[in-house]
Amino acid sequence: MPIIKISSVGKVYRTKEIETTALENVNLTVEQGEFVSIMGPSGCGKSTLLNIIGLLDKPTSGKVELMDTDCSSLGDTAIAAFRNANLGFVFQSFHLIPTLNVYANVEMPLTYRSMGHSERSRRVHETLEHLGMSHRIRHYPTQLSGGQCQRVAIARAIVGRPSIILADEPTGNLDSTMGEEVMNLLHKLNKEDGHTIVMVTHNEAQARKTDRIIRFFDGRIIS
Amino acid sequence: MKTKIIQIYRDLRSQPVIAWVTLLGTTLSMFLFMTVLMGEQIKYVPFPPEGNRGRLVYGMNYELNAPDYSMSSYLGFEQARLFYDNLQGVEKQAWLEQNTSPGFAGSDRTSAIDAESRRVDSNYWKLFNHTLVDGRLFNENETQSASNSVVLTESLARKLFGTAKAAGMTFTYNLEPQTVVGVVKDVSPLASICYAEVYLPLNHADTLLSKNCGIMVAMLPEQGTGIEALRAQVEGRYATENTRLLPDSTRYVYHGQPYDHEQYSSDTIWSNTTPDTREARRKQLLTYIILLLVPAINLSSMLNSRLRQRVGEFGIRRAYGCTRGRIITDVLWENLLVTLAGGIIGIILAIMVAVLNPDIVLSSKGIFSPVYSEYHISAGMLLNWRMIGMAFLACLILNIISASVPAWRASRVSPIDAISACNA
Repeated sequence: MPIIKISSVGKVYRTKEIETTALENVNLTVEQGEFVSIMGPSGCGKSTLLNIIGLLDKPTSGKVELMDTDCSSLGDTAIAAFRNANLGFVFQSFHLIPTLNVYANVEMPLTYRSMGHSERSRRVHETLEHLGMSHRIRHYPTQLSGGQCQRVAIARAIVGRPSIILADEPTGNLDSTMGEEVMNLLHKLNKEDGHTIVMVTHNEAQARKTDRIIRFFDGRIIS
Repeated sequence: MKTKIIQIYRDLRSQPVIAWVTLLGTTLSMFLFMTVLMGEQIKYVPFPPEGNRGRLVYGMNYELNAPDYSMSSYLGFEQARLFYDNLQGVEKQAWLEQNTSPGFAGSDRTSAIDAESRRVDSNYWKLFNHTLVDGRLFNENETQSASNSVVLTESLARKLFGTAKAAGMTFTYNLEPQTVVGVVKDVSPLASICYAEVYLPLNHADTLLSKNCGIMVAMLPEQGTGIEALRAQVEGRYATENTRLLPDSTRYVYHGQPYDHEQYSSDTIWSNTTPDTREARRKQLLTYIILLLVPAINLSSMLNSRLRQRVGEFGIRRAYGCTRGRIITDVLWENLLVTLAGGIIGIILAIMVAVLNPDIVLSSKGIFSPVYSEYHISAGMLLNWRMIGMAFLACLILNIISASVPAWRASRVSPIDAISACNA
């Protein structure tokens, strides 16, 4: 059963002088529980596609269906609620909020739900425990290593129990050991917890360990 | 809330220059606002002995038009009796001179010293809550018999007799012998109805005094009696009197008395006009708006700079389901806490300055003359719920004006642009 269905999606960036095609007639289906990696040279449209799947950007043409919902017709507030309930993001640069400690960073997605304080607290503790970060709960991002930051970012991505995790080069800023650790974590979340993961990466070895590799070139899927 | 406060603190710490300028700017703008507000409000807020300002009403003056002349003046005994005696719904009524009179007091111990006096009747002590330091207040018999029993303020008693325990002592006031029956605490000249240093008995039957125009009738309405009910009675008395005067073509012109304390304090109180409190309020409001708008514009640009540093955070929050509306309310709340912090410091500063150097507060409203050289503003006069409420309302308005545009702009940031900007 497809959890992500992209049909004939195109994305064109227009300025007064120039028109740039980022995506052209992209069709993609991802099944529930799949771990898919997207590869391709820089500027080929991988991140644009990930942003469109993550409902952070709107396609110029085509249709985006996530979990049987046609997201093209949703308004701003509905999109925000959909993202909050169903999507988790992991970024290359972690993007933790520097003025919040680990607990507050992980709690953040839950604060946009009508959820009581005790339930939020239980979920945050449970998630950090699951990722082996509960001993850093009162630390601030500047007090953590890169690998720990990415673990916290993954905790933030999964604390709301989303069905889909979108990871944009999650190991890009980490050394090989920490990168390996993070990849193992993502595989664990995929296999044990059933999260569907779409990951953009430049790392061939990491991509080969996923269920499927989608190769991109000049805004089109080539294999 | 705790997390929010810690985040604001860390956010401010990460941009110390902007944080200090923001905090100082808020403090100074609230200080300025409060100084002007206090200068204005001190005329209305109740404080001893004018603790009943909120309830008292006043008959003050009259205008009389005849074919060949017209006159407008403070009340004389005749008009006071005619228009204000025995009004229904009045609990207590007192007659007193509207202005103090300069004079000089002397005793065996000291040469003559300047002292301001005011004639008041015995009911005056029931309407205005003076604090008795020694002796007693003069009674109705003493006012009726035009005795020389007087009440002094504490500091004048000390100057004349070297002690505040001066009941029973004698002195001269304008060369007339007087006996002190009581001593009361000093009265601030800001209590413009009550201020004096010597209180002389005012005899309602005094024929010599009755020719003088210069008194006011202060009335305390019974609970449940509105000022409009009193006005209707007074207007009826004007009509009756004008009917009686009709053969002479002379008539009294009614200007809406009795006045409440706000009207009494109005800058536009003349005998031949009705005080325009709405115009006064409009002017005040305009002043307050300008006082808040100017710093708000500057604080707004400061906040914009602070929020620019947090653009990535807003992008992440949006990605995780935060709506634009939530970003706006979050920024407004955060800024309100900063404004309140600066505001509270500004308010405390303004009260301290008012207490230590009242000239600054009063000169802002033009209340500055030699007679006010020994006034005192106490924190008690300024700390009341109305003032505190207005101060916090000002903080709220300052926050809304200064933060609305930056908050709206922060909410407009696209998550992708925000996250990309962070990556760059």
